[in-house]
Amino acid sequence: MPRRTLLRVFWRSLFLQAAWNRRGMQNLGFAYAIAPALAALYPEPERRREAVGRHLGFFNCHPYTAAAILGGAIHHEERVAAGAEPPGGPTLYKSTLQGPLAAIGDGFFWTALRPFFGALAALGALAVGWPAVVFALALYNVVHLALRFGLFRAGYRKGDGIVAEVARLSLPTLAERLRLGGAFLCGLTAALLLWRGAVQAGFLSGAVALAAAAFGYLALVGGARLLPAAYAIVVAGIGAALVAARWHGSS
Amino acid sequence: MIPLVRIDNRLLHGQILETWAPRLGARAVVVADDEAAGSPLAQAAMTLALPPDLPATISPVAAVDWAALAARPDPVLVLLREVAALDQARRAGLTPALAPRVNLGNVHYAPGRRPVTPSVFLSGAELASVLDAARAGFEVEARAVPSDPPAGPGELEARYNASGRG
Repeated sequence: MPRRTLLRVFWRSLFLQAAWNRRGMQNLGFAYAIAPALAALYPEPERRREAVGRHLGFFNCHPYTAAAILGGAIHHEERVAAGAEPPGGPTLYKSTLQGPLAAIGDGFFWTALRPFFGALAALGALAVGWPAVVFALALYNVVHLALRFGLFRAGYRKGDGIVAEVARLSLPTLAERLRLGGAFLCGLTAALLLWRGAVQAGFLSGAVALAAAAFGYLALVGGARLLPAAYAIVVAGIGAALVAARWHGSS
Repeated sequence: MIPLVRIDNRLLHGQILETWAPRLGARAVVVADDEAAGSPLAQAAMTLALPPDLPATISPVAAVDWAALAARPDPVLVLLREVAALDQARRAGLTPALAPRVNLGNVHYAPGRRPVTPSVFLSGAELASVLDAARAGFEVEARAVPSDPPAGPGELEARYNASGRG
């Protein structure tokens, strides 16, 4: 497969969810992305139409880890074109891996990497201003695109071996560390906010906000069923802090 | 015990690990699927996706010992791929006494299937199976994640009939 074609497929994979729909979910995006590779593999219009057709079936995965499946699907299509495996091979590969790789992507990107950079942006914005947000966004995308491209390339080269490649990244361990780091950054952000609030609006409002945050935290630790109560306490506490600040400022 | 039997075309994915397993307090997952049980790739990928504290067993539908799973003290979440697998499981000994709740999570569109929720499409035969399970005493509901409003068997039948004109 020419490098240029692979790059085109990868570029198109960035638009995987552009035509998301309830029936096929990411199916149109996947077929659009893989189309240049299929055009290279199947010069005869009839076989090409058939190949594109099999990639129009249901597909849904995490949009980043889907790059690994896209690479692996090209790997399998090369084998189909060479007559080394039946035409159902790429479809089976996709349906087998989409669920597990979606779980890995959700766990790593959505619940660890993105919140970490979000917390970094929030802290940076408070500490040095808006350029920190741009910096955090840029850094997030460098990391995400590098991983995405790496997954695509590994899928293309290894096919079924992509599972071992992903295992080598030990994403769950990394995710755990990122979550801890993100929680630490959130704590720093909250402390900075409280400190600034106390300096600007007086000690009392800072103390009330701190007490509200502590109540909220304890309610959250108490269990998921307390979640609405925790939100109510935090909102009431913030309201009380604002009232206290107002009262303090006007007296 | 078996707090939930889930029907999901994608079997193990983010919705299971991030929402259902924590909500149910599941300590283990059983993937009852003939195709996955016969595929080393599926087993490797599922093992990789699961956190270390949530072990999974992947076995053919016919090989699941429902009474033994129900007798376990810890909650076990069971995943089936298709509605047809529920029929197969019931013939193999699954009863409402062993697993009272059945959830339809994701059943993808295929020709002949009509939409009944945003993530569930059913054929006439599948709807009949679901209604039969409800009559047999299973609490059947359709929803993707725990925070969605559940749709019961009556609602599923009504929506199936309503979408027939489309």
